[in-house]
Amino acid sequence: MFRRRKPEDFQAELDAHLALEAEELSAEGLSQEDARAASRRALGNRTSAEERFFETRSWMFGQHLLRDLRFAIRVFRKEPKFSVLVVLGLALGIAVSTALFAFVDASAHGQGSGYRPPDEVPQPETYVSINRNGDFGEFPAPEFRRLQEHSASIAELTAESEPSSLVLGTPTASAEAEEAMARFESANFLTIRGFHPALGRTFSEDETRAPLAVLSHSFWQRRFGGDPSVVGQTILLNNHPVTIIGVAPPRFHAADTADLFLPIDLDGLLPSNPAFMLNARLRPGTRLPQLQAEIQALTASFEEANPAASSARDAPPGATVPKISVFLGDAPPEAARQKAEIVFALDLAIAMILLIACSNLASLLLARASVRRRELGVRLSLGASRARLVSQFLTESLLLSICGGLLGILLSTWLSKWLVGSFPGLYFHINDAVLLYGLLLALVTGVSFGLGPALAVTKTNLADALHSGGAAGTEASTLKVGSRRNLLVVIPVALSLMLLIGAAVLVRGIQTHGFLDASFDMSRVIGVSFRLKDQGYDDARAQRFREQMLERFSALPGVASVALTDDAPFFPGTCQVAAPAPVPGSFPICHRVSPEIFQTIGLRILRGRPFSSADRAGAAPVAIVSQRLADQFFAGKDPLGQSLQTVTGTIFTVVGIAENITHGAGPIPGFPAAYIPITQDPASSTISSRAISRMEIVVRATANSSSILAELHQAVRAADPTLWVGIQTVEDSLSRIFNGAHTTILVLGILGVLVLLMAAAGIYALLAYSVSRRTREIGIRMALGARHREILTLVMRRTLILIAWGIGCGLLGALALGRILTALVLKTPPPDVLTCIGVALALAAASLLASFLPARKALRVNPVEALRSE
Amino acid sequence: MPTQGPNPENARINLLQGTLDLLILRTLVFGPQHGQGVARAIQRQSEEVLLVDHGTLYPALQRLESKGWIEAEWGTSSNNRRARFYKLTRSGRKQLTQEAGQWRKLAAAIGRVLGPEES
Repeated sequence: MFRRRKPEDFQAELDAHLALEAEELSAEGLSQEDARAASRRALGNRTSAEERFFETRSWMFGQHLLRDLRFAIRVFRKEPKFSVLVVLGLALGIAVSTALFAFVDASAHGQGSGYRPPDEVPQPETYVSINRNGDFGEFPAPEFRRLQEHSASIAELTAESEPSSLVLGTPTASAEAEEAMARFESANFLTIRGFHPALGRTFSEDETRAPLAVLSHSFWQRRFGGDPSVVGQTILLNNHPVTIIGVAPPRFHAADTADLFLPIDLDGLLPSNPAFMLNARLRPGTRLPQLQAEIQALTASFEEANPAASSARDAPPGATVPKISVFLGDAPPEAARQKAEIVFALDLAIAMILLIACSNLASLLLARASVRRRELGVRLSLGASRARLVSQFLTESLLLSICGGLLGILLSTWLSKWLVGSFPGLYFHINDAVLLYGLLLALVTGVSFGLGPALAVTKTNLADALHSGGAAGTEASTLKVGSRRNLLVVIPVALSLMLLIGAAVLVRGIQTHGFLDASFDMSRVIGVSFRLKDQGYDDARAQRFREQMLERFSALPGVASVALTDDAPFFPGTCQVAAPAPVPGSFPICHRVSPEIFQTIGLRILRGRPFSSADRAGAAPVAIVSQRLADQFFAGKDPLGQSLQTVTGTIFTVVGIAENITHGAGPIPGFPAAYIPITQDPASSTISSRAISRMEIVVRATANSSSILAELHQAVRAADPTLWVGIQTVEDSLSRIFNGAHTTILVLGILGVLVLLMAAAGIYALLAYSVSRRTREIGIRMALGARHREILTLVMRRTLILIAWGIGCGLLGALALGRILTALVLKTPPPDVLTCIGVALALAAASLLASFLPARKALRVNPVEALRSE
Repeated sequence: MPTQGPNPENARINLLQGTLDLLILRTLVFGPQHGQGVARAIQRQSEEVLLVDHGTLYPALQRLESKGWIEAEWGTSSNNRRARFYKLTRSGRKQLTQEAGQWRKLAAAIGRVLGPEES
């Protein structure tokens, strides 16, 4: 319809008009000259008409936007510090909340936790977990078959073992072996959950004994670089050749430790007493109580027929028939609830962080907007409409927020990559939904927190704005927007205090529950473990190999001493104390060791004597116990000379008391420990030869250096290059176990630092602005003889009061929030006084520093220059 | 400096624009006309009471054209000059009836409020 009209056409029309008008006027009796002048006069400001013609055009919006953008960029170039500050602050906020969102998103979809919610499974109303003896009790394989055959209400049943550790080698024996975790699965393990292999196929019902393997997607990526030609390749698992036939889809068990999925009956690789978790598809119309009763009856009759089966599982004493529980989905309701609670707490944190970031942005924009009141006044008086000014302001804040948003998304990508990379338990990434969230966040922040200041400032009274001149920060105007600006300090301080206290409480909770305080230097004690039996060594060869290794290790220059033990320090060991009867709640560990163990770990013998070379097979059996074990088991008696019996029946005489391996008295009072000479337990070869084959060598390094790890590794490789060997300090092996706790503490710590930074940045920026605006006033005061102290008071007083308010409000808020959270969701203790005070002090210090830096700038104001500048 | 109300200039322009649009549409009822002709016609018909600002006339024409109420075409004037001629469209005619009706109602209402003319 309406064809776009060129400006030239419009000009031609105006020319035509002038000609027509002049003609008519001269016809009315004016001279040619006068007629032309009169017609031009009547037309008025021709440029303005042409301009207005311009503005009626449809692409005017784009033109304005372009002009606004160019202007905004000019403005930002003029004040790079401001722009960088705003963009960085916002990017930080968006990065943290986007990364958190990614984490929450991933956990909500089951990637972060290993659980999938019921709705991920097709027809979730028919998908159930079957458990016994608590939430995760397991079933032996024969019972799985029986249920599969006899249950009337189950349409399909799948069994899955816990991951077990295997040694992965290559058939060419060219490379060093690695450790791989495998789950044993029934054939339908993928299809029952609605998954299909990403590559290749899975094993069929009649291949449950075949040496086939399906790789997990992450292992395929990590170990084989996502090479599709792995399908058909053969690998060695515990020295058994196994053919790779497929790759599981990425969403299947994504956060799981399992690297491989193997057929359920695969002989030779299965652990000696495999147990399986069961999931089932119900037949249509079956109800959960009905299923539960049926399985209960089936298992009861099974246990009657096979008394051996019930003794094989860890039945609680007295319970003849295990209690069966059935629930929908994969996770017991309790776990799902816990997850929901964590997600809720994280959502709360996201909201608070965002609020801080937004209030920072708003305060900066408002502060700057009021500085520009004079510019606005001039523009308004020159005829700019308010809409144009607001759109200009919005363009500026949007530009800032989009820059901040993009940078934030970039940062969050790095942040999440780093988190996922450093902590194997975590699995999440920035997907499209998260990206969209981050961008939306940036846009919404830009509009909502740019609009307020824009509207507030453009409401200016023209005359006022022009008159007050450059001194926009007179007392009157500060007071006018005062209340709103006060909130911009109080709110972020209060919010960040609440967040920090929350984080601190969580950290303290984790610390008191999950950490060991070893009484020896864990970074200098190195455990070297092998899987000799899994890799085809027989007992005699393994024995020879270990002796050879002991010799080679002790010859290394950085090694102080070496010893042999059946398990690393803190781990339970392979012998078991039978008498005296263990104290309830106490779990004594019992290690079979070589005599050098105490000096190698670094434990002193407090009383009695250490082991000697005379304590060998055939000599009287002796034991050394830890102080804690002596206190618990031989209370009131002299422990030396008492006897100790292991489950194998041998009676040991206690000849020495060793230092505890932990000190301090946390909720877990440490491990009572007993040590017996490795050569003196005659039954050692019959108990579990696999456990014995995993005998570890403990090495004490002379210095805390990582090169010794490489040297040990080198020594093993020189003896047998295809061996799997695990070399790590006790510190590392423990931190692996407490990984979850470490991760959480680290993430919370980072979060805390970021929050602190954001709050401080906001205060800094606000005060820096107010100082720069009051330069002239400060100059006058200094010229009149004000002292530094007075200037500092002048500048900082209001901010300090506001910070105090913020901290007060934050403390109240944290207490309230703590109570609500404790009552509603998390089982954390309410914040204690010490934590609160500590965190409040830290925040106060940060805020003080943030406000002192700009205030110090005020002291350096040169009165002469300040007065001349206007 | 006396305190000013919220941008009185704006208010005046708005009033003029609305009125001018109506007058342009009304003038074009009698047939296609070029800009200068429209201005003259308004002046003549209002018995020289309404003086059309030529500078605002053309942007107004442009606006009406973009709204689809009038159409334009270059043509030749009676005294053999090239000029852009505007013609009322169907929707422009509808708009005119509507706006004229509103204007009459408004004028009548204001007239009633003001009462009989005082001398």
